Amino acid sequence: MTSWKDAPAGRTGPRRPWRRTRLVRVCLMGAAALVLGGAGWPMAGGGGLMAQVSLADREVRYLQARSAHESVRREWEQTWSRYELVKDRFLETDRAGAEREAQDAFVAYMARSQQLQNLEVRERELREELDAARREFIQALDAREAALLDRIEANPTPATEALLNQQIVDVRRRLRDVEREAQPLVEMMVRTVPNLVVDPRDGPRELREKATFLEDVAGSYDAVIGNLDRAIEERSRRLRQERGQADLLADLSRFDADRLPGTGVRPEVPRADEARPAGEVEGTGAFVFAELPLTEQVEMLRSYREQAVRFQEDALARAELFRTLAAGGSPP
Amino acid sequence: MKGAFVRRRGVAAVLFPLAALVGFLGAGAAEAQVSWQDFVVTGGLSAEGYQGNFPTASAVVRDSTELASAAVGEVGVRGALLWRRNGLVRGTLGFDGGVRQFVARGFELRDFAPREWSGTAEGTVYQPLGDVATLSAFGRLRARDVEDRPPMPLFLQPGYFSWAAGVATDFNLPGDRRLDLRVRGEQAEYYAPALVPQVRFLDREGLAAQVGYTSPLSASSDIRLYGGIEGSRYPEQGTFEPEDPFRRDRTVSGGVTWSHRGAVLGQIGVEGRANRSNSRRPEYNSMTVQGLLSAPVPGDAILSAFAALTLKGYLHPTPFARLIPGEEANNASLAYVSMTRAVAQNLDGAVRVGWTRAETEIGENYFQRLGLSVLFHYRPGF
Repeated sequence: MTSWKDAPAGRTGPRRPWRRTRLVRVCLMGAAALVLGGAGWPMAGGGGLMAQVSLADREVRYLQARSAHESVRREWEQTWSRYELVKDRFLETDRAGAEREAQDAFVAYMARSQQLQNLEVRERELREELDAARREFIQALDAREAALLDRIEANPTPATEALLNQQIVDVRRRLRDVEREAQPLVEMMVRTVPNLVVDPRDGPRELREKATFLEDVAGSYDAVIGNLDRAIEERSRRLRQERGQADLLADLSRFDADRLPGTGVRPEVPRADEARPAGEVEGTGAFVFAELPLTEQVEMLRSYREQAVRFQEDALARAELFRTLAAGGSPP
Repeated sequence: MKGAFVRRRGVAAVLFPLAALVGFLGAGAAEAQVSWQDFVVTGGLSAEGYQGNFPTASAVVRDSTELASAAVGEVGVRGALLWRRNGLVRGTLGFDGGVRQFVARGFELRDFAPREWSGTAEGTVYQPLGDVATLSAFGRLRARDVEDRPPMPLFLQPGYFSWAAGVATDFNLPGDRRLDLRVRGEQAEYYAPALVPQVRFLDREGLAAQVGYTSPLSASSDIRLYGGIEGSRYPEQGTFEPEDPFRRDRTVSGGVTWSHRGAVLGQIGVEGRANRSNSRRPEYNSMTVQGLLSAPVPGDAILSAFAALTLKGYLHPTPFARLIPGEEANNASLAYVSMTRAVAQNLDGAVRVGWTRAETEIGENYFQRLGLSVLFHYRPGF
């Protein structure tokens, strides 16, 4: 079937009574617009200039939010590179015994570390703004699609119908692209713990500075673990919902308890969307994370979290060692 | 007639080879692109109460009691494997089987201890047809048996062996809409106890076709409209017409289902059916309304609910019982509410309340069941 019409060209048969007067129709549409607009739902049956302005406005806001987020991410990556450089320089000078240079490098390292933390806080704020702008843009795209579908159902000419179909395809492609961009794991870079060692020339001050450095590294893992916990909780909740539903339906159908006795009727119970495949990013062989089964998403997020917790514990343990040595104690 | 051994062999014949195949595939899941979609072991206990004098042809004896109760223990296993190739799901293989043991009280004749066995195996293969459509074919075997069948009011569905197979095509339309065509054939053969041969009247062969259209309403909801036609044949039911000796039915159905996948998973559907036959007695019109809900609730629990109601009206009232007494109700309802919560690693606990009612206009007979269950679902997590 290629036509959107569910009746031959030209209406046949009587109109339904509730469509008889334009006044009733306008009142119903106005009431629906008030209710749905207040609820923040996309306004079906509206469309026209207002919807297009709203869509353009939301797209601009989304693109601005995305640009701001990407800008902070680029800055973070550049700062990260400089952080790695000053860290390596600190380690080299420390091993070489160049006390003054090591001290300067340590100060530079702490400054970069603080800068990274500030950028991470800013990145989180911008990501929340981006998520909100993305949600609003998706709602606007849904409303745009609904408006296009309404126009198709108004029996346009074939040329107009083809144009509307193409516009719907474009809207759906844009929707899919926007949804695919909402991947949380791209930012999940779990930093390794720098390999600081005790130098025979280290005095108490140097050891305390190294301990502070490692405690700072350990603190940076809190944000990563927090993000991962939120992502795991959200997906686990949806998984529990789907499993609860599947268990109920399966337990009933196993012993025909879902068959209404004496009627021969077994209601059409919904099946889980098991045939939905994980989408593959074109040409890369990599899967789109958001389209993996929920169990796999949760598994991946949990492995990242374990890694982050291990690194954090490692950093704290080494910091404790340095503090013990700085206080004149001996390692365990 | 099939003996108990043969009936249980039907269930085993469905499950055991499939379990071996699943075990073989599952063991190699890490190497092949085969993975478990789900694997669940279920066990639990229920307390149930029954009331009513609904006449059923599948009961061996008739008891005078109007009320009965039962303690029920059940064990079940179900699982499903997914086969993927190049990132796309190309096939699924599933099984579900279990046993339920009743200890019933309240009967005048004696205490009954019915036992239900059931097993289902089904598989589906998918073949994408470019970006335009997906072709699929499925097959299913199902068997069920009941030992020490009790009289009413403890109603249990009769035992049977059935197979079903079909093909379907899903077309992708612009705007994320879909058109689906399904054709399905099935056959069911009922197990008739020695003293109740009339259960074989339920034997049925059928062929059905359905077309459906799904359209999204928003990012999280869609609606499906569908219509179908079905032809059934009952080789053990006579019409007393020499020219057309066996019952043949034609059923036309149509319905709509609305689905929502947001913070709450929900589905509501309405289906109408019109059944016409070369035998006047089973001609009827019916409507079924069903709903499904799953929502998170405080306490880290999940509330799930399922309900279905069927209303039925016969075209030709008759003063005597329908084709199979107790197998042709006028209306029937069921409702289940379940609260699920994780109780340990890989283990969920559920408390479930279920209610079923059916009635027929013949002598105002009815049947009602109320049950409370505590169940555990264990997922090994492989």
